[in-house]
Amino acid sequence: MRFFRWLVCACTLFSVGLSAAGHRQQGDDGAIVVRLPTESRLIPLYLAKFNRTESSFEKKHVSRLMGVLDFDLAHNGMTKIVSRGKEMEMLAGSVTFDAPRNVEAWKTRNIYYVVRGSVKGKNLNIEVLAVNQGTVQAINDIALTGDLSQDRVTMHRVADSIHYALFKTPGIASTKFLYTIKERPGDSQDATKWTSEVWEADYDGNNTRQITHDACLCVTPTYIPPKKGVSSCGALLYVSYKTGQPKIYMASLRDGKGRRFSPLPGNQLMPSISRQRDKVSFISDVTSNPDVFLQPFNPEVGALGKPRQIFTARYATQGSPVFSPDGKKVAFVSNKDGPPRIYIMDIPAPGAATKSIRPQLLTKRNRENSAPAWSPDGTKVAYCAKTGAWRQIWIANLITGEERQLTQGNGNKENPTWGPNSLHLIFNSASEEVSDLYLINLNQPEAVKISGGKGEKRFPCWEPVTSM
Amino acid sequence: MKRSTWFLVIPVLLVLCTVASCSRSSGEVWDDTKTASRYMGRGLRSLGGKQGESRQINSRDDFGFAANWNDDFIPLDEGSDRNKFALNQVPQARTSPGDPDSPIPGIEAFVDPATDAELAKIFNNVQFDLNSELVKGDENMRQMRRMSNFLKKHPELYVFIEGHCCERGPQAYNLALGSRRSNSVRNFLVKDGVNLDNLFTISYGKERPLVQGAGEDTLRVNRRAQFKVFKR
Repeated sequence: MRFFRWLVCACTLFSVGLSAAGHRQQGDDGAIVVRLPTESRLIPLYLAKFNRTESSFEKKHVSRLMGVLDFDLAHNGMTKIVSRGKEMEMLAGSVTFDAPRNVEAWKTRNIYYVVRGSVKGKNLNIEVLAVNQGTVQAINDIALTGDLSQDRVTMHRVADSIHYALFKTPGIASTKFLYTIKERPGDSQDATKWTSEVWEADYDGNNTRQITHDACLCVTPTYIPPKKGVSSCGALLYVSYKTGQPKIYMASLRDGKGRRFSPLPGNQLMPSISRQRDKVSFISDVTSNPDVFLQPFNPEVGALGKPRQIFTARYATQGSPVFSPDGKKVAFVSNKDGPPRIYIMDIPAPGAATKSIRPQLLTKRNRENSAPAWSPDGTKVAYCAKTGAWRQIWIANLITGEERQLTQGNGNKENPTWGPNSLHLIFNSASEEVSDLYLINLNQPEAVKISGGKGEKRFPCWEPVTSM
Repeated sequence: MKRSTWFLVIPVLLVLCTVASCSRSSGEVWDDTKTASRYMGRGLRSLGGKQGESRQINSRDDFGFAANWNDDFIPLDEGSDRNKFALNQVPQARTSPGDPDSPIPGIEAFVDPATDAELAKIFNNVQFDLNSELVKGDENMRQMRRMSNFLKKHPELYVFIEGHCCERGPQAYNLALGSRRSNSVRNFLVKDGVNLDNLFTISYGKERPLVQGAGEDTLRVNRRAQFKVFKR
């Protein structure tokens, strides 16, 4: 009898343990789904239709420009666009839209900001009503050209001006990013004929232009950060297979003509440059093992002196080194302890003893982690990790140590790159033979596709901006 | 300890083990088991005198070439581990094909050995297991010996050894894994006596699949080392 009682206790404990162990939810496709807090942090904003009664431009052009502003305000991570309605259009269209009774009407609709614009001749005028304060800010006489590509740039600047007026922080609408497009000439199934070139686009995926014309495989482009006082980047590093072995090249964004970065023999892969513009980290197999190297660098001159090995692990594969924003640490991928994981280490002195280097494991939660990206504010590392059936983007908070899943759903999401505000990310998502680019931010869990057309778009790299 | 106490302790231990393993997928548990067995296997083999890629050496004179890194880069100091790992450090060729000072042209001058009847019999693809760069298996080893013997007799041949990965792995990491695979093949050939200046590595990651698709057979075929040849 006594034995029977003990047996019952043991079975009870066993079953409790089993039920406690199964916390993960499984989506329909077997992927792990992480439920994020549902309360939105976004501030409701109403964007009224532009008044174009005195416009020199066609309705279609004005609508397109409205669409650009709509996208920028809807995806800035701070505001959400409220759906248009007849009454609100009348309110917004009123001459005295900032009158107290109108302001009260906006308040009852829980709208915090109202933006309206009018096109007179070739100029755009914008007014922004801050409902709670009852004040209006105006941006007048914004010159438009009628050329969509130029006017897109102008609208992005308008969006950034509105962002700054409301939140006193720079917006990201005027920034750009690099990426690659891999194409199969004539839809060829022969992979030796596939080529991949570096392109640049506005942050919303428009205004695309080809940078390199190597007619071979080009991968992992990265901007060389601009000098202090200069707002945009002028050059990039990328890997090209034009002579056979992958080598790192430096090129101007103006003409895309690459020149060799380092004469080191063997394969050179995955360059990353410090924000201080004084060093480049990359992977080289010069020792017959893919190890992490560091090359002192001057953007005007190129590589300075010899590169130095900064991490090696025998019988292991290392990849994707990236600098911390202060340039003192490197995060990288290694499978030295089993499946590939992300580590962070202080940059060792030249010729340091291997045994003195102690990289700290960052990614404890998942297996098969890769492609780390350090946020410009230094507080987070984004990466991709195998999560159920697909790769998803995860964020590791360096202050709390928490790792959280950012993306969900089908498709292998990889190669995250941070916007200069440390809030937005662009990544590529692939399934079968399709790969496209997506924009997401930490306040809006739904990613939006920003690329289209033929070819596989991959390896995005967001422009580092000195003003943020 | 009393029998009654054991009846309490054993179920508690069972529950702890179950919770620990139930919180992980079967794939993860299998992955860890393989990792542990990989390291155990190396240890057991070394006890039996079989060290796989490595062998016991006593000094840098025990192998045929002395890698002098100081010309190319500043190495880390591996200290007492230097001799242990030196056998895996096969230097790259002194010049890269297509470089301005290289006597060897770029990849456009290299051909697929399948286009030549004699070369097609020698330079077949070498296959790899998932996440592995080890050259193993009887067929692969026969293939390696054939290539080695042929190249030693034909010093006018230069070979690009391409390392490829399957669709399963991440894009960026696979670029580095492909390098491990091509170097694994190259290291074998150099250690077997082929001139290191005749062999070059390329890592393609998963950029150039041989066959497209997601089935296991397709993935296996794509995990390979493939060759391009130039005759001077």
